[in-house]
Amino acid sequence: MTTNKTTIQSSASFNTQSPLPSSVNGEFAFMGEDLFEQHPSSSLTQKNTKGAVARLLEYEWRRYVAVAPHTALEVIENPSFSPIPAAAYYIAGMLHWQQRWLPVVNLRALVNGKADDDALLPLKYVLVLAYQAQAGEPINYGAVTLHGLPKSLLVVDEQACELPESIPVWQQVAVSCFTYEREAVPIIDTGLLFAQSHVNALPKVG
Amino acid sequence: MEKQGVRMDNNDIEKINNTAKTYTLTGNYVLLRADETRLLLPQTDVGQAEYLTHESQLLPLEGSEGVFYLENHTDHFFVALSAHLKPQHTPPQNHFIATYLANTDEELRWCWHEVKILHDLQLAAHPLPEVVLVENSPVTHYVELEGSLVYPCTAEKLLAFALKEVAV
Repeated sequence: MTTNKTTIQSSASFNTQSPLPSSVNGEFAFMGEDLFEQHPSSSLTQKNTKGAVARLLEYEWRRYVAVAPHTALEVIENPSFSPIPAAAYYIAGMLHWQQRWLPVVNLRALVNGKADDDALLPLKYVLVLAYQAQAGEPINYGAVTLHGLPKSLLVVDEQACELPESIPVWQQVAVSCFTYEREAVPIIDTGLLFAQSHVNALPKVG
Repeated sequence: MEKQGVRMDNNDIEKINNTAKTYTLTGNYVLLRADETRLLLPQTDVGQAEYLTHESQLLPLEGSEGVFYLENHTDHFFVALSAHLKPQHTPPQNHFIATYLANTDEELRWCWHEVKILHDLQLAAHPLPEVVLVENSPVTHYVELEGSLVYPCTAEKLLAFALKEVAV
């Protein structure tokens, strides 16, 4: 199977003075045109607006997480994976990318706390993310499954909210949260996502 | 191919499991493939392979889910692993090669799509990222072989994981 790649950005527009987190400490400041789809409601063109740009990732229809823009490296369309035997239930497989093998996290399975049968079906997109296990360590890479293309979104402090307690994995991987379309959107630290196991972070029932 | 890391051979595999270092895998190994899952076991862990000419007659063994036998031949029992390295609950399809694995009962045979002996291997084994691993996983590293990912492990760890909840 061939793999189509959509080379994307990361703009250097992330505001490190913002209360929003930066998981790779700004080491990824790729220059170039931002090719991410921009959400119509975002105010990226407005000046004098305090806030930070986030990448909004739709992992299931109208369910989102966000990451810092400098961690989002490349969208791959129609990816193919190599299976990993006895892997954690939320692992879709390994993705070959730039002479490396990357773990692919199925975000929907991770949130739902169980293997996702739909993951066996062809996945439309994955997003390659950069992360550091700890500050000062080399940059590493992983990928997450996506329901649609990422969007750019300006997030302001007034949108901050509490992390949903019903999904314990957010306590492990998210460092902040904001509201978008009346839903809580966790902001994921990619280091916390890829540098530890989440097999014990199952959602609360009921 | 010598890559940076610790040079080890078959006898040292126990030492590297559950570590996060790249090491060099050397020696004689057997590639065992079930569907898309490819495992690499030390040759000393794998017994002689035999063809299953009557695989369509594999029948489930009552009281032992995931264990099968050949009709009119109860001297051997058969197990085939899923992608999760657990015994399949339905009779294996097209798993036409059976092998004995060290540390299991003499009468138990393990079914595969492909069995291939690889002599004098020298491959870099890379640790799987932490996010991938589950507790007591027999697979902690991967090697790249002919463009595919292959997972080294030992029969002892594989069987401890596969048969954990199975009455054999």
